[in-house]
Amino acid sequence: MSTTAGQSRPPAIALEQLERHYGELTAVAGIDLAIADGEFFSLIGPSGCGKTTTLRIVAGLETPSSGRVSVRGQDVTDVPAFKRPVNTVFQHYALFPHLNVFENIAFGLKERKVSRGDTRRRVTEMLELVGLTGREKARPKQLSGGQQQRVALARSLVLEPAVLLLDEPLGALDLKLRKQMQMVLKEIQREVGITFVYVTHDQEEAFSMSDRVAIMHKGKIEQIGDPVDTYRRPQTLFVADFVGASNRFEARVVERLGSGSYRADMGTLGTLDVPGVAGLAVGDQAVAVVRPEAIRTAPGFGDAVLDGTVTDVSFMGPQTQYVVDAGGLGTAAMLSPADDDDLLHSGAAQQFRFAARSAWLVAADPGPVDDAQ
Amino acid sequence: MLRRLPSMVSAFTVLVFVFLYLPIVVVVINSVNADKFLVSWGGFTTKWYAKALNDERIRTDFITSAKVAVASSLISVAIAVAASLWARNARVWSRRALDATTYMRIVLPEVVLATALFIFIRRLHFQLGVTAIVIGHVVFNSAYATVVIQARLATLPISLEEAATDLGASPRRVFQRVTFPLLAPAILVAVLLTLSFSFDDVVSSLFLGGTNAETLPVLLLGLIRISVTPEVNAIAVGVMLITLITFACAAVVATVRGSIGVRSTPQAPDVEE
Repeated sequence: MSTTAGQSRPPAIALEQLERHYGELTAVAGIDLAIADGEFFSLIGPSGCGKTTTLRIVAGLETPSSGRVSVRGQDVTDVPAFKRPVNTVFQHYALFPHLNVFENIAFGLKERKVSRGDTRRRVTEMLELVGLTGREKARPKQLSGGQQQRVALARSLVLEPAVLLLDEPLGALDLKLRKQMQMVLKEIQREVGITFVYVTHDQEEAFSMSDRVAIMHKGKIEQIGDPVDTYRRPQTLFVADFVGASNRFEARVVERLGSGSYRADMGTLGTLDVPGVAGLAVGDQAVAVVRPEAIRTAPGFGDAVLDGTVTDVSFMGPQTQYVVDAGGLGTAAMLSPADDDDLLHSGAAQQFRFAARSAWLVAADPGPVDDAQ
Repeated sequence: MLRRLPSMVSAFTVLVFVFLYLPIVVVVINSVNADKFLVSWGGFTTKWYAKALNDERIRTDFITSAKVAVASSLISVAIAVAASLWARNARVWSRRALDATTYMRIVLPEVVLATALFIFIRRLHFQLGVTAIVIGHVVFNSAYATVVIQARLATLPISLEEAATDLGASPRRVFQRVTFPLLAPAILVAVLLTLSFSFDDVVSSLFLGGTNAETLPVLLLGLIRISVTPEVNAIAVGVMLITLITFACAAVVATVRGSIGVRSTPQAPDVEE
């Protein structure tokens, strides 16, 4: 895991006060970001959050309305795309249909006037790296989606860019192939040591590969951190929801306990000591986020108890998901592992429990004025 | 279920085709008819063709036609490519304006365009002749070429050019290495199409040639006013063949291009390792 702190080298990518407006529309609303050299960094968020626009600005395919972009300490804001030391893997690969695999991969080398011999050697190396040796003569159309993806990757990596930008590169693949390609991408990134900036709307994909992730919402970054921290300690309700299914319980802060914990009045759940985001004040209306996998039925477990009725059971193989009607507390979701012998049935009335320390307090949604952060 | 068409309709259709094509067949037959007065079959001959080929005026007019066709075709296609590429990045209203002028040039009666151009050229004291005819042909040819090029361009995702830029190609190199090769089949179709449109044009050529230049179709028009001589048939067949052959080439290029673009080769299944 890499951090930007205490690093003497300039960051691979630095964005300062980046904004992009399209008339009335704001795609990117002020982003500051530093991505360390060699990092696998993901930008995630729902569609329309500005992640792709941000990536395209870094690539130079889009011009920012204001702000600066630097690559390895060099300001490239006014450098045209074809002169930037970054390369992109496009969502639908954008392989050149009139060129074969070899020519596609050699495209950028030809622009740099690399000699024939060197070109052959480097393309061959790349084909080996992405596991496509022997397919030099194939046209993109004759390749499967996964193979096309590898060609797109090789075509960019062969140029040894300072940063590789990936725009939802696995979006067009089916689930099984996605999982495989995730491993391949991670392996390749470790092998070549190039900084990867990865854009996706799939938080699971981002979590499984990245050193750090930034969650974007309405053109701004809501939170940056490593996946574990982001999942366990979301700073806003939006992040809590986006990075995974979460149950919400209303809470009111009654006392600040120090070391990031609060004593909260949670209505029928009682008064509980719950960790949470910094900066909540006594009297604040908050929301306690509880992950579905933190809820159990074992007697004596945890310190929060809610009475509920199972309304839906979805068996998903390794896990079973339950939807629980918890009366005045609303509905809750629970995930239990498959080795849990006692599968609950729809209609079962039961006590559901969770540990207060597994919950997490965030400020209540300020309502429709979402831009206020 | 389709109802069977009444036999009268079929008969009528056949009749229409007979009226459309019979005269052409007659022209072809008479071009090799040895009977000088073309009233009956006098045996097979190629002497009318020989006669036409040896006629100084016919040769000059053929060269004029060819010059006009080549020049107007190349200029039109260049305009079409530039306009289509510009339109892709233009604002909606500018693009609509271009589309409007494009379709206008196709829809407006050629005689109106030719008259307007005739008056305009006279006003400017510019000479009627080959250059004027070329300008006249470019007016409609560039519109047809634009339609062909734009159709192809619409199927090319902009990401291909973005990828080329991203890989280090300057705008000029992107055009050389990606845009042009991908547009090439459409450009070829547009060239062939405009060549044939130009070659058989009468109206613009007649209005704008003045006394300085005469194209083959204009010569034909002049000749039949006097009398239909056997050579007229031979010239007509010549014009028809040249037009048909270029048009057929365009069709072949379009189909081959279509099959490359549309029919995807069977994809290897998504099996990895």
